[in-house]
Order: sequence, then C-alpha cells, then structure tokens
Amino acid sequence: MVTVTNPGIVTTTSTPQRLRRLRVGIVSALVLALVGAVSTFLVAHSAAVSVQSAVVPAQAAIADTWNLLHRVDVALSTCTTDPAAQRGRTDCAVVLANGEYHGQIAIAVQNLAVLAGLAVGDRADRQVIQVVQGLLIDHLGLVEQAHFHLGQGHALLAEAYLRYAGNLLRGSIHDQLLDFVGRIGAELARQRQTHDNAPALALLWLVPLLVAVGLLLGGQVWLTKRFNRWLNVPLATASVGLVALGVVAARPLWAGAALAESTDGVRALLDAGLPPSAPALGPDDHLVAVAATAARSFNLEYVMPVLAIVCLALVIVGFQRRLDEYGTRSG
Amino acid sequence: MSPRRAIVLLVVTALALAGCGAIAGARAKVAILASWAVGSGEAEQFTRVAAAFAAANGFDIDYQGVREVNSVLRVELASGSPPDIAMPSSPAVLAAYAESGKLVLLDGDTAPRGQLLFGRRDPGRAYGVVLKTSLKSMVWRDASATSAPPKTWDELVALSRALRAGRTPWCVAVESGAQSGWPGTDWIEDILLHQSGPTAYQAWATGQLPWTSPEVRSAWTAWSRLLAESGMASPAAARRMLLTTWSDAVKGACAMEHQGSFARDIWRGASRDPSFFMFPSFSGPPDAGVAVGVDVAGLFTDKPEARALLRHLASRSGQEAWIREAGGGFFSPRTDLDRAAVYGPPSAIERQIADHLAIATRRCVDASDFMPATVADAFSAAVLEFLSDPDAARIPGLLRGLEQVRASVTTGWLADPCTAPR
Repeated sequence: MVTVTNPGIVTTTSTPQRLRRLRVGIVSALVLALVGAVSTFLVAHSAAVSVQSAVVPAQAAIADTWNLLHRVDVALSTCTTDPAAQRGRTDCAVVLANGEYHGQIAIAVQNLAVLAGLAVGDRADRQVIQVVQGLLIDHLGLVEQAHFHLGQGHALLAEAYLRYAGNLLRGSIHDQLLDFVGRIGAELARQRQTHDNAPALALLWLVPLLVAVGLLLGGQVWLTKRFNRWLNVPLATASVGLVALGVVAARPLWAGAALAESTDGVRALLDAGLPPSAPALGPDDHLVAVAATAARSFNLEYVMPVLAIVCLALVIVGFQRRLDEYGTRSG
Repeated sequence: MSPRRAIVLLVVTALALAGCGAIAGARAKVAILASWAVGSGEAEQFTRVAAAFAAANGFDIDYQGVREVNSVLRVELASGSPPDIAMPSSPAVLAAYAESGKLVLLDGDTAPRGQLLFGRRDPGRAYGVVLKTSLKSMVWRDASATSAPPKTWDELVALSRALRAGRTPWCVAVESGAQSGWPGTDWIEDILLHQSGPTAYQAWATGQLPWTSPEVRSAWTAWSRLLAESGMASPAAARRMLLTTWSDAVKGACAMEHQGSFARDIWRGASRDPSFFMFPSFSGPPDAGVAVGVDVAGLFTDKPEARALLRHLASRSGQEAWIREAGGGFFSPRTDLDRAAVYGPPSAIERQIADHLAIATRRCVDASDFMPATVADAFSAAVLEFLSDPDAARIPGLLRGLEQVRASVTTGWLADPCTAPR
C-alpha cells in the first residue's frame, strides 16, 4: 500500500493501481506524440515536395528560357546590317538567314508552356507566362520584319526592327519574366513560412514524447526499487524506440531549416533581378539538393506509426509482467 | 443545465456567430484590368478614385495594370476568368469584343451619350464608355526657342525652315516596342483632319476612303514636305527618328514636338520651358475639330458593383475626383466640369488643354485606334518605311500597299470616329 500525501488531502493508492495509471499515462502521451509527429512530418514534407516538384523546376525552366532569349538578343543586337562599314561584326543577314533565333525562341515558348503547367502560384500567376508567350510571338514578328527589309535592301529599317525587337525583349518580356520570378520567390517564401512555423508545431508532439520518455524512465527507476529488478527490458526498449521516433519525426525539420537557409540565396537572386545583359542563374545547387533530401520521405510516415505501435506493445507488455507478478505475489 | 454544459453551449454559439459574421462580412470585389502599370502615377490616381467609391459602397477593387493589356485580356477571357471592367488599348479592341458578344452592354444612364460607344450588334445600347481623353491636335514647343506660334500650316513650314539653321526644328521619334510608328501615324491623322476636314477623316478611319485618294496622299505629301523643309530628310535624321524611343524625343536639341497632352510631364521633366499651340489649319475647312486619344472601358461581367463603379468613374463627380488626384494632368471627356475649379486659372497649361477639348466642335478619335488591327499595324509599318527615307516619290507605292490591306479587311471597321462633345 502506498500513501500519497498532498497538503490537506490524503489518498491511498495500491501498487497495481499506480502501475495501471503509469501505463495509461505513457500510452496517452505516446498516442499524442504519434499524432503530432505524423501531422508535423506531413506538413513539412508536403512543403518540401512542393518546392522540389514545382518551384525548383520552375526556376530552372525560367532561367533556361531567359538564357535562350539572352543568346537570341546577343546575336541580334551585336550583328550589323551594314557589314561593309562595320567590319569585324557579324552580318545580320547571316544571323537572320540561318534561322537559329527562330529555333531558340520556339524552345523558349515550349519552356514557357511547361512552366505554365507546373503547380506554381495560382491561375493569375500562370497567366503571366501566357502573356510572355504572346509577347514572344510579337518579338518574332519584329525580327521577321527585319529579315524581310534586309532582303529588300533596306538596312536602316532592318536595324530599326531589330532594335524594336531587342527593346521589347529587354523591356516588357524581361519585366514579365521577372514578375513571374517574383511570384516564384513568393511561393518559396510561403514554404519558408511553413518551416519557420515548424518548431512551434513541433511542441505539439515533442512535449508528449518527452513526457512519455520521462514517465518511462521514472517508471523504470520506480520498478527497479519496488520489485528489486535491475532492468525492465520491454520498457527500456520502448524508451529507445521513443527516442528513435523523435529523431525520425524531426528529420524533415532539419532539412526544412536548411531549405529555409537556401531561400536566402534565391531571394538575393531575385533582389538582383535577371540581368538583361548577362545570363540568368538557375536554381541554386544547394536548394536543389536540400529540396530533394527534404522531399525524400523514405516512407517515414508509415515507419512512425509502426514504431509507435511497437513501443505501445512494449509498454503494455513491460507493465503487464509486473502486474502479473504483483498478482502472483498477492495471490 | 450544469455549468460545464452551459460553457460548452456558449462556446459553440460564439463560434457559430463568428462564422456567420465572417460569411456576412465577405465583401464583393470588382476586378479591373488597365494598361497603367501598378505603381505608376496614373495607376495610383485611378485606384485612389475607384477605391474611395468602392469603400463608400461596401465593396473592394482588385486592380491589375499591365502595359500588355490586350494580351492579358485575351488570355483571361480564354481561361474563363475575365476582369469585371477592362480598358484595352483602343476602341477598336473593345469593339471587337463587343462584336463577338463578349461584352455586357451598358445601361443608358452610364454616361452622357457623347461619352458612350455604340456598336453594330446592338446599335441602341452602348458597349463602352470613354473615361479619359488626350488632346492630340497640339504641338509642344520650347517657348524660349520659338517665336509666336504659327496660325497656318504654311507658317508652320516657314517656322520650321527658319529654325533648321540653329537646331533641329522637330522632335520626332517613333520607337515604341511592338507598337513602333504610332507617333508618325498621329502626324498623318492630324494633317488629314486639318487639311481635308472631318468628313474625309471619318470616311478614311471607317474604311470608306481609299488610301490612294487625293486626301490621304496629300496628307502624306504635306508631312514629307515639312520634314524636308525642316532639314530632316537626311539619312542621319531618318536614323535618329527611327531608332529613338518616342519618350526620349525631347532629349535632343529640338524645338517642337507634335505629341498629345500626355507629353506634358515629359516636357516638364526635360527641363524645358513648355508651352503649346494648336495644330494649325490649312486653307481648307476652317473648323476641323481636334484629334483625340481616348481610354475606353467595357464591362465583361454583369456585376452590379462593376456597373456602379463604371457609372461613377464616368460621372462628373468621379471625373473631378480623378482630375484632383492627377493634379490636373487628367483630361476628361465631359464638358460640364467646373474647369476653373479643377484645372486652375486660364494661364495654366492644363486649363488651356481642357478648354480646347471642351470647346472643340468635334473630337475625332485617333484613326489608327479606330481601324481594325491589321490595317492599323500596316499603317504603322508604312510610317516606319516612309521615315527610313522620307522622299515624297515613295509615297504612292506605300499607299498602294496600304490600300491593298484596306481592301482585304472587310470586318472590324467602326462607325463615327468624330463626335460632337456636347
């Protein structure tokens, strides 16, 4: 018989009752920890998947598109419509005749079609891409006009149309692409917010988990004293299992923290803008790697419940043995 | 009831009331698409006027401003999410949507009749409303560099000839991305209007007067002569005109610019001493009216809040609020405003522009904004081709090409580009 004394209250609790209460407490804490851990894991994981499957490819596609357009722009803005007067510069007639610019713009339009199909942003965001596609057609029209007039021997008109095409590319098209990059940045920032909130959410499962581990360790000590046994193996194993559960649940949060760090790099790229005179950068390698790691779940959302069930079974078994033993002694 | 149950009941009731409140508090939103880029002065001015009305009437506005307004509108319509109100780049674009039944027709009381646009599909009901006007029949001049403004075309040519000794008489620059050429089309339109009169202008803008007609040919020839007399027919001048962005035209050492009232800030920003004179008359019709640019709006959804907002924007109080927000840099299609109150004394440039718009017997909408897009594009391209070598001998060939385009386009022509403002 155990007597628990509080100021003004005196209650009496038997050892089997205390064993059962301890078991209920640990099981409850374990269930709470499991629910919190799985939900936190799923939130963090879905954010990482979104970054890996949409944001990173979108950044890659937009950088690839801009680089293609940059090559077109360099080719068309550095050539001359008067090669006799400007020796050493490429003849625009040659650049226009080989049709390479046509192919590059076609690929850029295809890239944009892929981009519009990715799940980045909302419908309004993706409409920006469709507008750029329309503007690229306008750009192509201006270049074709230059080609036509050059063929007619109107070098100045050809130069003017090439200038208009270049200004359209470096003006409206660039601005619209930059607008879309900004929207990708906003998407990353949103994902980052999810990760920033993750430590607070972690308290939902970390506190019950720590309580469960504490109760297990406390119970172990008490059982050692009460039953003169050195170690309750099932409960000790359950304690190790719970620690493992905590490590597994925290895994996407570590990756998420690294992901959040890498968004700083992306933000710096956005702040600098896509330079019209230099190739654009694709997604940061670190971001690609971290997003891939964070998005790789290894089926941990299934491993966690299995681990928790094993821990539960061990707790039940560990306490049941003592209860049975107590019953035998009493009997 | 136990205290515990009472607390639970209270909490549930509070949550239900909060939910109902959230639903009841969901405000309607009117989406507006226009070409004034978000963050620009024009966009700020417009959104302040629209937001103030919306707030007073219990709804919100969602403004989208992009230079490529026509492309965005096309995409939004194709994807089934059009804005409630759109202001495309020209009346012709809006009219094309009206013809295809994409627009919601306006109520008769949306604005005075002269401010409304009527189509062929339902001639009795308007499809668009003019919200903003720019005076185009005007010439900006550096007051310190030019003497008294010319009254006739011949005086203008003589002034240009006199100026060429010291500086470039005209600021002409036509680069404007995919829309390059429009400052030149404005020249032809104004010359044609003032040389041959509004009847010929109207017939030409509506596709009934051939490009090879004497009236059109005479307009091109007059411009060619002016450029030649100004010393601007040289390859160097042609290069400068073609390769300079239109808004940079005044940065050169030039004395005058044929440009709309929207160039007010450009002239002020260029540290010039700006003033203007009206486009001079030829010896022909004495009162040809003025050419204007217009910003038109149409309804793409039948939302009561959108109708109310459009009615307010077109109203006298809405227009006056808009003028105040723009610091006088907004010109209204209405003639019933208290111009002294909103534009200041008669000496103010803004007041003078507003007075010219108000007293004009006719306002003729920019013809290239009124023609079908194919014809307007060919017109701009012809201007560019002409400016590459502004020799009058090339004009007949260019006009024959334009006439072929006109003859091939049988749909999309509008009626009545010239209207009396009162």
